[in-house]
Amino acid sequence: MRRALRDFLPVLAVAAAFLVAWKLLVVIGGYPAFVLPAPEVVATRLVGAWRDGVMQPHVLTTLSEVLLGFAIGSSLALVTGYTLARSRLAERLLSPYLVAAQATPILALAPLMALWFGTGLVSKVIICALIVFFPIAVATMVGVRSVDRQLLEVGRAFRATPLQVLTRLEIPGALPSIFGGIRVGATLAVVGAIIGSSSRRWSPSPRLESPSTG
Amino acid sequence: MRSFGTNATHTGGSAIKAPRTAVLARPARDRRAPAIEVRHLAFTYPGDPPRPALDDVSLEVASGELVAVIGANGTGKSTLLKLVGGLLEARSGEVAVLGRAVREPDARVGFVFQEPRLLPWRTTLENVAFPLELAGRPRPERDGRARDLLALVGAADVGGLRPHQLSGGTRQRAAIARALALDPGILLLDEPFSALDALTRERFNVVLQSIWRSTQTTILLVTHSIPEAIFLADRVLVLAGRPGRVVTEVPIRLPRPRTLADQDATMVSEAASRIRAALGAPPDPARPAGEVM
Ligand SMILES: Nc1ncnc2c1ncn2[C@@H]1O[C@H](COP(=O)(O)OP(=O)(O)OP(=O)(O)O)[C@@H](O)[C@H]1O
Ligand SMILES: [Mg+2]
Repeated sequence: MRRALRDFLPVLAVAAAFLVAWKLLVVIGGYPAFVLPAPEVVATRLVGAWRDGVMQPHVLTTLSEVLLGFAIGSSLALVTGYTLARSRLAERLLSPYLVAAQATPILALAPLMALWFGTGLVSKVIICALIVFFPIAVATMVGVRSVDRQLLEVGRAFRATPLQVLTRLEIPGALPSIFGGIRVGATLAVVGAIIGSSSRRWSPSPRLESPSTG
Repeated sequence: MRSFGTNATHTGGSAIKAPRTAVLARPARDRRAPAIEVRHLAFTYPGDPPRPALDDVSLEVASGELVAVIGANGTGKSTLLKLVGGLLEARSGEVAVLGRAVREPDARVGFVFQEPRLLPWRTTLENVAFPLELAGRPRPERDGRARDLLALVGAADVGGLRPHQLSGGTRQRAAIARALALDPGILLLDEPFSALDALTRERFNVVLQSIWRSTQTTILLVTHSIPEAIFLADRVLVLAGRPGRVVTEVPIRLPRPRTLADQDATMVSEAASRIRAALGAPPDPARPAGEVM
């Protein structure tokens, strides 16, 4: 208990410092609320919206978009990343498209997605999935490639089947790298869902008081 | 079961308590098909430029025999072992194990690499159980067997630790235990003791000898150490040149089981100087053979 407190204390302290700095900025800078609202204004608004039941359905929609998009994007990414790592041919054929696609800002595609797939769940899930795809695919490829060759040779010496090589050597060996990709991907998924939502109204700034329908 | 006894304060000499028989050498082995048979084997690593590693190597290891291969760096010792173990494909010449041409790793062959090569995400016990797991043995069986094997190599107390928490020597013990997991008839050992300090190494040699005697395996051992080769082997093959060839074969006719005290015998110094001469080093009669590493 004391330990938990000791570990948690710095986190609290930094959070408090952040809020104080925010408040000071508002007070000293004298910004009007529509430019930079003070922390307590935002908090009141949040609590109010939650109490009125305005937020819950939207939170739920966004959450399901994020989760669905993340699940689809990361599954495809794992398979693609593995294929790229293990097949020269796949890499030669696919990597130009991957590079080109990665260079395209996915968020800029949001309005197009809305045009093609409507403003419902589908377009947002696709945006999420696309955004999640690249970091995880690249991390998987790098991770699988970096699995120690000497350990793979051990697997061969003890007659591991291809499936055993995958599950006992390649996946555990690539996992740290894959998790790195997933961390990046997961945060991006949320960004994707929010941008996806905003594109519904063809406006870059979604506003709390006039929520669009999910 | 003899164990490596991590805390022993003595060097290996007194570690052997088995009664010594008066016979010289081991009883003549039966002349069935050799356990390992290599004919005119050559190997070149592809690449630009290609790297020739072995040139026209022929050797035989009889069933139950312990043969040491000694040679300078880069003379193809590891390459030879990988070819015998089926980890490299022989394109020129023949390699057969237990009467069958080698195409891929054989379940009857255990391999200890030059590095421990333990899986870092597994505990030591799980590492030793790895070959059993791949072979589809049920969990209770593999755990029990892995524990026995760890005890056999004197590392019973580290089963729950990860490889990075072990000393280099203990890692190597675990690698040896892992190689023994499937009860192989043939053991291929690539400098298994190179990471050990001299005293521990001598103790390991004593225990390897006793494991070999009790399990009746055939062993092909790569080493850099002349004393180690003489202590353990029935025959010592000297590899030299790039690409490597077998330049000399030195039989070691010392009684078994051998003790570390045997290293003072005249036979030992004679064998040592022959091996050293074949390795290309100038003979140095002023130095007792047992101290040459
Ligand atoms: N994977 C590889 N690719 C290309 N060349 C290799 C490879 N492995 C070894 N070689 C080359 O083959 C030759 C023999 O190597 P090998 O590892 O068999 O020697 P070694 O006798 O085991 O040496 P050491 O005593 O240092 O372990 C060397 O010239 C080495 O550079
Ligand atoms: Mg080697």
